[in-house]
Amino acid sequence: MKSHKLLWQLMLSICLGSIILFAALHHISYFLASHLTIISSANQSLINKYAQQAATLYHHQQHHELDQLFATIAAQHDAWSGMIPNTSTLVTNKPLPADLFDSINFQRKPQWPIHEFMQDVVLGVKTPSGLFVMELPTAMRPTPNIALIKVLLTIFLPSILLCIFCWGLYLHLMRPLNALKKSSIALSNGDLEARIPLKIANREDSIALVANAFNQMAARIQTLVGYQRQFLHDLSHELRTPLTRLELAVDLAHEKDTNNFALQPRFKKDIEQMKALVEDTLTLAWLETEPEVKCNDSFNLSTLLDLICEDALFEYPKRVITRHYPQQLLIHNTNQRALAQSIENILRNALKYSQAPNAVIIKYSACEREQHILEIIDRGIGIHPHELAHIFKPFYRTDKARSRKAGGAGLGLALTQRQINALRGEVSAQCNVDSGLTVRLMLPIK
Amino acid sequence: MPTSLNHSVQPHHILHQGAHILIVEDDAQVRDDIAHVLHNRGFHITQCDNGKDGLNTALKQHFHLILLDKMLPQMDGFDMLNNLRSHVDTPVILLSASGAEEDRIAGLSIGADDYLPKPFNMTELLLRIDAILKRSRFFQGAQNNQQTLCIQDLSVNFSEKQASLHGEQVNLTPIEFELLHTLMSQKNEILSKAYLYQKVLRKAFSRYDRSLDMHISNLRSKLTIIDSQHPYIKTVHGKGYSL
Repeated sequence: MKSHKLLWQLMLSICLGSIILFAALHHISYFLASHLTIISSANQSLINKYAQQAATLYHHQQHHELDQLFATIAAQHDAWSGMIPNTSTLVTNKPLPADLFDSINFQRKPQWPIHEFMQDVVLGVKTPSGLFVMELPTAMRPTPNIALIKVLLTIFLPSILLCIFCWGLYLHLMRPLNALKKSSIALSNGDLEARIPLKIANREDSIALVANAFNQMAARIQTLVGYQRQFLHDLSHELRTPLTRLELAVDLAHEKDTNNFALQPRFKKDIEQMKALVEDTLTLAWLETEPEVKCNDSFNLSTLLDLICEDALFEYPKRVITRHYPQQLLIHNTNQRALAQSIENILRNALKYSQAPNAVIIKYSACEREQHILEIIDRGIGIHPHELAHIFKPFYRTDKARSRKAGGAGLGLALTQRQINALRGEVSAQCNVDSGLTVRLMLPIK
Repeated sequence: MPTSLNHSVQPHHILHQGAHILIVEDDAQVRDDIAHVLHNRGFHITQCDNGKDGLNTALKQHFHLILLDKMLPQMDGFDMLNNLRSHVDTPVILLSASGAEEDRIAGLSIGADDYLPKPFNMTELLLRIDAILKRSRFFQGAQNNQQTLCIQDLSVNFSEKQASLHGEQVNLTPIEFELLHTLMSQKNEILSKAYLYQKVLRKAFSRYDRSLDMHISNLRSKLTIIDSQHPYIKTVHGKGYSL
């Protein structure tokens, strides 16, 4: 419904507009017809004045003066006039002209409209002594400019009204489109803050949908670009450390030739660190842009967990990993490699940030036959609760981790989160009540 | 992990003496360095610096292995591989500097036998070359396989695809059988993961992939059910497996 709002608006305004236009035209023509065809009020009162005079003269039997009045009217207005008293026949100075024979019986009151088609009009005014009749003088006849009025009413006025309507419609449609255009150009010119004003985005019609979509897109682009900048900044920063060490080692090798061989492990270590960094970054970037990981492996999760534990214990021989999971944990439609890497990352973190004799615990629970829930619990240094929200961000390292020189660029958990998400699972972390961290994996069984 | 191998552990390069390798790589420094190391290990080396020459050379002469860079002038590595595959089956290791694991695996689908993400170290490369050459050598000599192999009470019958321990039959999947057979036929040798991936799983080894380990683990537990005392398959950490 929301998306059709513009259609309803258009339909309603065009229908209402048309009805109002036609009604207005009708009223205007009616008004003109009644007002422009009426004898002017000055002339009306002049006629009424003649009628009063004639009535008075007749009443006082001053026939001579009455004849003179008729003669004056004839002289001034070139019109015949007379008096039909209540009791006797027509009194006049001249006989009734032949062309008035028909209309003498259809007298019109002075206040009545005189239409264009009416010929030889005779006006009649009732007085106490009788009826004053008078031919309508040509000069007094109302002569409206019918042709002009017709042009005005049929062409000019509707055109003006329709133009005003179109202008309104144009503004209604073009204002948001112009705003959209402006914002698009600003965005493409690199102004990532460019948004369409809220006034337009809140219109709740089809255009508002476009505006909102644009604003969302712009916001997403802004976040992404910001993220990429931060990412690039962090990556170059992380590369700088091993590079500096390498450069120093090379300088050192120049100074004391004999020690060349002893420096080799240092070279190797720094190169390995940079390699791992680049590898993880590539995987991360790949997961960002193309989060499709082939999920068609089915296997026993316990076997994988056993293998990862064995490998981890090989690296941390003095540690204990307590395993609470059953022997058979079938998992389907997943990716063994991504899952293995993720679990390994979490387990290695747990071992890295905790110390013997504290065991790292792997605890399994099933959620309604739909999800495997795997918790990896350590009793290590843990993290501050406010850092929980950040540990899955790339290159984020807790202060404690930094000061420990624990190595690693802080990409492990970011990678883990993206991989687990690509497997339709979820990863979260929480602080233990006493100490250490619990990382929880939720994985769909099928 | 192959990275922890030392240069001193040089797997079987003596077996590949005289193998002819083509290197197609546009970076002269990398190409020369690889050629130098391989030459010192007794390989014959031919070098090309672009895809077109590489393809012509590969079609004119017989090679045991081609090291192919993905980004090449004139003809890119993928195109060259596509062309090559419509004529010959020479094993190819793709050297790729692009994208993540999954992305690079795409290269395998068009016919590479293995891939090595750049940057790589020599040990890793030698290990992969060894795995591929050994595999192709084995395929050529496949008919020489003994029908029945026995190590103590463990025996496999190749033609019947059956294994038994203490006279008791062990139900193995085809992959588990082939793993056991491979380990038994090269007894006392440490077989690298890269080689076992090539030989048994017929795919490239990648760092976090644990499918081989899972097959070994399953194989082990099937053997342990019958004889819990005997650690038949040994894990050599960072190198591979042996029997």
